[in-house]
Amino acid sequence: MPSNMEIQRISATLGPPTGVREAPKVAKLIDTTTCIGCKACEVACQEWNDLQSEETSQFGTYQTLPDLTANFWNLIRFNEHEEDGQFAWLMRKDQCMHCEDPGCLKACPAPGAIVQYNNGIVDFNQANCIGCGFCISGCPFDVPRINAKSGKVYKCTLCSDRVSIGLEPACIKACPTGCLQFGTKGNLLDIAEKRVEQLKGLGFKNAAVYDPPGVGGTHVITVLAYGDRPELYGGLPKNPKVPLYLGFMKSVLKPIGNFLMLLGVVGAFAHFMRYGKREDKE
Amino acid sequence: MSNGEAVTGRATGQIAAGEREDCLQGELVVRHSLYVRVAHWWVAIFFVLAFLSGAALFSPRFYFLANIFGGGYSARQLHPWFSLLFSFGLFCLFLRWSSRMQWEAADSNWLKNFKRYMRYEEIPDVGKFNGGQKLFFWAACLGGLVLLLTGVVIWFPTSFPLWLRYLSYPIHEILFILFAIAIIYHLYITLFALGGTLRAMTRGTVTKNWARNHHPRWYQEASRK
Repeated sequence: MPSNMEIQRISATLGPPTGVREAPKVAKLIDTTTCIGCKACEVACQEWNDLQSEETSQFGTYQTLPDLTANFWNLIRFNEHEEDGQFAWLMRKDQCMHCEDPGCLKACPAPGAIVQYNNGIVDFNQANCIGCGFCISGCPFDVPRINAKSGKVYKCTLCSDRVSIGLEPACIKACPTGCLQFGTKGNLLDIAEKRVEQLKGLGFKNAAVYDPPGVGGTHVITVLAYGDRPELYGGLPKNPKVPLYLGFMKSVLKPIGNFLMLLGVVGAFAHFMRYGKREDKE
Repeated sequence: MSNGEAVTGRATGQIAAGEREDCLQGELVVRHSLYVRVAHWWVAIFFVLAFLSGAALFSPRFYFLANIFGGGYSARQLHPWFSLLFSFGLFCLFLRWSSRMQWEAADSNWLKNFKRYMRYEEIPDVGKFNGGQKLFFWAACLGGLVLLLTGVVIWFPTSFPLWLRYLSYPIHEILFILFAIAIIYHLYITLFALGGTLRAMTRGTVTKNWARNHHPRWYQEASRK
């Protein structure tokens, strides 16, 4: 975890000190229509983050692994799609979406285990992680993975260590087609919208930018040729939301629970003051 | 007789040794058998351990409690095991007590007189357990079962569907809050409010006078044996 980026949100803490500096919001743009499935980004991710290689299995596709793992944070999903007699691979880069309103951070009970920098990157600090897995249930995209040996949870960091010193994430550096781009979110949204217009001109009437509002937007935005059916892309949720139970627990259950427990102690004390110890008749 | 024996009551015949209960033992009444006492302390110890390690995860305000267990990571690792041991003890208590805790007309009467109970006024016709104790027992058994079931889901999140996890987290927390409040009063009553009660769980015996005052019908039954 780089220490030279300012923290905007922090898990299980009453809030970071108010910062006065604002950083530009960063984002990664994934144009699924120009991805050729070369997997250079997967290799770059493994190399930069020094992750152990994972044993895979043959399950009938060119996809590297069936699913993300604690040692594999960036998986190109090879989705085979047939429409109007045409076959197409709908490639999707499955990784942490870096939500503006991160469900994982909201769910985390360990102070400082999950932070959001003021540039939008959501980062896990394994030193503070207690391995409870609450973030796994809190994530609307099913991204965090627990390492069975260490019991700690891992995911894409958006190369926060590289970004903090002014470099782009490793996957973007490696991408040969330019389908991955890194920059400020505003700029990338403009580029994405232009690409969507191009795609519409090419006949993909429902092309769209995937930047779901249910999680406050994401810092990984995706151009989809079939924007009306994101679930075609390996189960990308159509309208992901921060799970409701998190808000209920955080804003209702915990404050009311703390108050009731305090009230219980006060009530017992008041009873003792009024009635004291019971004296039995002989 | 050494001082230590006087304190523990070993030499004075104050400890109920076997499985006999609800009968007289000299000037005392045997209230809880050895089995019940061991099961109850087992439940009490593992409840406190599970409660404190769970409280650390409940709210950041209680996270400091994780230090008791060597930090958040070990508190999280130990919590489910404390809870399993707690559940086992609770089940042992359930086996022994479920028949003794059947609801009777006298218990409804006790509930109606709850205000009098709070004011330490006498309530006639109270058997071995009063209505409050029976309610607490059944609430603990039911709550313990639901805590166990939701806890297993939380323990192995990736083995259960999302909707079940979404339900389990808040239910586990609601029960945590209810248990916390119930335990505050359970401890207050036995340790502070009602003198002479704690020894029922330490020595297994209570004085005749205590029995007459708190559980008159039970005292009559016991003294007839």
